[in-house]
Amino acid sequence: MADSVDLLARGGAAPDGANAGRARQKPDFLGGNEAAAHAARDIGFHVMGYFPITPSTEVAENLAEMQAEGEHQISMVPGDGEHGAAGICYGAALGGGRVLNVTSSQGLLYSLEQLPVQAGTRVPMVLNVATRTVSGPLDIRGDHSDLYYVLNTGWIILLARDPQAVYDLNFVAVRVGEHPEIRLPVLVAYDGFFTSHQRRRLERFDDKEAVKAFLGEAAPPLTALDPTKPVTFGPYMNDPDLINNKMQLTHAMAAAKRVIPEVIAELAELTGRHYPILDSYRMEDAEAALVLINSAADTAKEVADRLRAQGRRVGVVSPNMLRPFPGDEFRQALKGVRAILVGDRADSYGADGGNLSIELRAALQTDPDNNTLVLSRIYGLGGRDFYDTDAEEFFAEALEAADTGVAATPFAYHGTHAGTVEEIPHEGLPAIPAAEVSRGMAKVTEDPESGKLKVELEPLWAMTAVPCRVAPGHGACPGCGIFPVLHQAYAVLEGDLVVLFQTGCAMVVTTGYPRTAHRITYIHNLFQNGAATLSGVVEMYLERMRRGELPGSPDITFMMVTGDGGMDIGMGPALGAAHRNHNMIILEYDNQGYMNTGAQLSYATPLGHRTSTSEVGSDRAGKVFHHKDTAQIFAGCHLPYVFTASEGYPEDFMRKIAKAQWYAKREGFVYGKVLAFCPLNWRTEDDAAAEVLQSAVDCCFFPIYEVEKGETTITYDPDVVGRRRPAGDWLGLMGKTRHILRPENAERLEAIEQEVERRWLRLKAMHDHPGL
Amino acid sequence: MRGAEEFEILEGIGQAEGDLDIVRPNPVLGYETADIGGVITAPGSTVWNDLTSSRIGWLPVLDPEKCIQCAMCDMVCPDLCLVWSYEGNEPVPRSARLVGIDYRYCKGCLRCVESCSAGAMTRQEETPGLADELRVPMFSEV
Repeated sequence: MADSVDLLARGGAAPDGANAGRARQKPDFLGGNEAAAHAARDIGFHVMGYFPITPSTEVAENLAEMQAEGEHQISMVPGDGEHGAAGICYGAALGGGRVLNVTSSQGLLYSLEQLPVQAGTRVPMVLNVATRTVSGPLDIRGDHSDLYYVLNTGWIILLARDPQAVYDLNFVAVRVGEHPEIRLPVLVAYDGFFTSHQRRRLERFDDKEAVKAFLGEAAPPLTALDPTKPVTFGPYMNDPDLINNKMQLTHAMAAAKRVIPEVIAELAELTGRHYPILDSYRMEDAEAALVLINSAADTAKEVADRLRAQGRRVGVVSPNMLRPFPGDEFRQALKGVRAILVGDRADSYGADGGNLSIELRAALQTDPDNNTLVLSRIYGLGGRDFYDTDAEEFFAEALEAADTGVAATPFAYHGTHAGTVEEIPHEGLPAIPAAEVSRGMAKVTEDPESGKLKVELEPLWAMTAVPCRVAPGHGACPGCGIFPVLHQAYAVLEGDLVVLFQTGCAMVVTTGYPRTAHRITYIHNLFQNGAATLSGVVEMYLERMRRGELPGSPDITFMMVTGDGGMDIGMGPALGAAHRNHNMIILEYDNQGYMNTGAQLSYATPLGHRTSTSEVGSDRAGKVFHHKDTAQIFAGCHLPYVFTASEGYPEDFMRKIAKAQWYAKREGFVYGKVLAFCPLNWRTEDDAAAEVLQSAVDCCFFPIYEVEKGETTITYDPDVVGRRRPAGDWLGLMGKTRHILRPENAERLEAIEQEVERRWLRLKAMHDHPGL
Repeated sequence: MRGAEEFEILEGIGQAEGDLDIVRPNPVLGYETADIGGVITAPGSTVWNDLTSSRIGWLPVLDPEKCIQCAMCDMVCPDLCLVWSYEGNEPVPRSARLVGIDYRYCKGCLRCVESCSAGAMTRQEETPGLADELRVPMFSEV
């Protein structure tokens, strides 16, 4: 298809047998995430701070697998959220070693505040970004709307079109960032799913000495870990100094323009693979061209070949670097090109062009001899595919402009769908009248003596008559414990209810557009700030009620539903809502991990449990720290009511939910944590729920209790009913924990038993002494 | 696409006579018909989904003769697909009877079978047509 010169210009793997580099390499077949993980291992970063987010999570997962087998010694630190992860990375980088982070989309935006600090204080590290759409509405697929937010942060941005480039450019990133004239953090961006998950043949180093010689040692001029050289990092700097700091940063960017090609050339000597700053494909004598970032450019190249075969003079230009912006290279490459179409996989809304096309127009304008017509097209948002037929349409538009000398439509969206009235789907189910869900299934009375609540339940069969506020037809996995939790709660919660779900399984499987399983008003905002959001809704409710603005004065109860993962990243806002004592319930379904993104560890994951980021192998045996005691954290907020429950004890849970509603309506904030079954990621049969949940409770790993007005009551005591058993009984029931019972993990089992017993005894003491 | 020179492309592989053309369907709603902001104003519309294909060969089957109406199955069913009938339904029913299962939503986890102390729910192999034959629809609209 293409001639050999063009092949080289594309970068990526050389043809068979053309391993032209000096270093030993071996072929592999990897996706972009896997390539980033292999590069990280081969580079041997000191520290990786991270937080799981699709589609980049695989990098941490792959590294966790390698770590479990002792293949690398990178210290992998799971953050409490991406903001925390970015902070971990910044701190680690101040310590002078090599640092890696990987993220996408919301994770990048949640880290964003850290990025200009890192650049402005000149602390190198490497951040891989599997690019993904920014919410909202939430979309996990790939576009460049996250990447474009980084343009103004002072980070160097390298673009990797395929897994080979992901691997190679990570090595470049380390060298460039640490260069004494640069000292900047470097981001390597590759397309989420298109590049992160699609495997390609590539070559990777099989030559530790060559890698070591290429990278050298990290040689920071100053670190936070040299007491003989005290340094103040991050001073308070107002005018007139700050602008000079930014001048230095601009100088560093200018140096990067010179150094990046040098480092790439040096790497090319080892690998035989070259990455020009601007990848100009079949641009010699081209009269029309497409300018595209990352994977779409490869699709366009194939179409360019076809059009060339038909005699059309077309080419494709795709940068391998976005910061510093390759303006000179663009001006050079586009000299004499009559028309270009710039595709932006993200819009700068209202600017009549995405960032690439705006910057490109600006770059061309500084060349007085340039007369290239520029068409801007927004395409592929939210992961919408870019097919060869799309490239054909783009070329047709660019050629028309080249032929006519007129850019008839300078800006447009490509690949949208208007829809027709005939296609509008059905209306859904009718709203549930408050009376239908207010049947007194749980009668709550206040004991005048103790001031505590008593709950009398109708039989379970009677409760089935309450219409469930979440409808069937949702997409949860078979056996999922979240829906029994919701169903049981909804059976006793009375009146109108507004729910907010934090990001997680329950949110994803119930609201796949254009359908929803929710029969009541439901809100999803961000992963971490549901409690803040619901606080706002509660306050607006109270204020509008006060002003008499709500017709019928609805008596609404507010409940946030979250997974245990949401209570890692969302702990701050949840504590804020608790301390403000808003009239709301937080109901946590605890399935012990980030199950929605593929079972990564959460802080609620117990010690030793296998997750995709706490793997089990010859060198590691699962998670290395104990589970978070969320209920006790909220008990420490001195709330009206805190409880734990298991979906395996519906009556106990429903009594507590009835109390929760009573307190949320009258006194304030309620926190409830419910153990919820997850057969997929606990690695059990779908119908093993009862035994596994019962064992977790009977071994006292998950004690069932409530803290009502500050007084703790254990509502199910396995010691009293004679069902207490060792934690090993529970751990032996799940695939994710069976390894803990092996003789070599005896210490770990002992540690779990001890911690469970320590927490249990403390709880019993609180149960026995109302003053505790 | 890159890869064309890295792999040998064999004519006709993956294609057979009578294959349908590649279809790239449009979404149901478009920018002229979707509500702004991505809101969904059709509550409970997942009931129009059909989850039948989630099952992997097994069905829970109810024997009404053995059922003691304890409702534990209803409490643990993740798919919310058990259908009941009632007598005297205001506000608390006088009695309730488990009528059957709406297999349109049942993913075959068999947690209902696990929870059943009366032996009324049993695991059965899903033979062709069995689910349709035994299905008790939950929503008349669907």
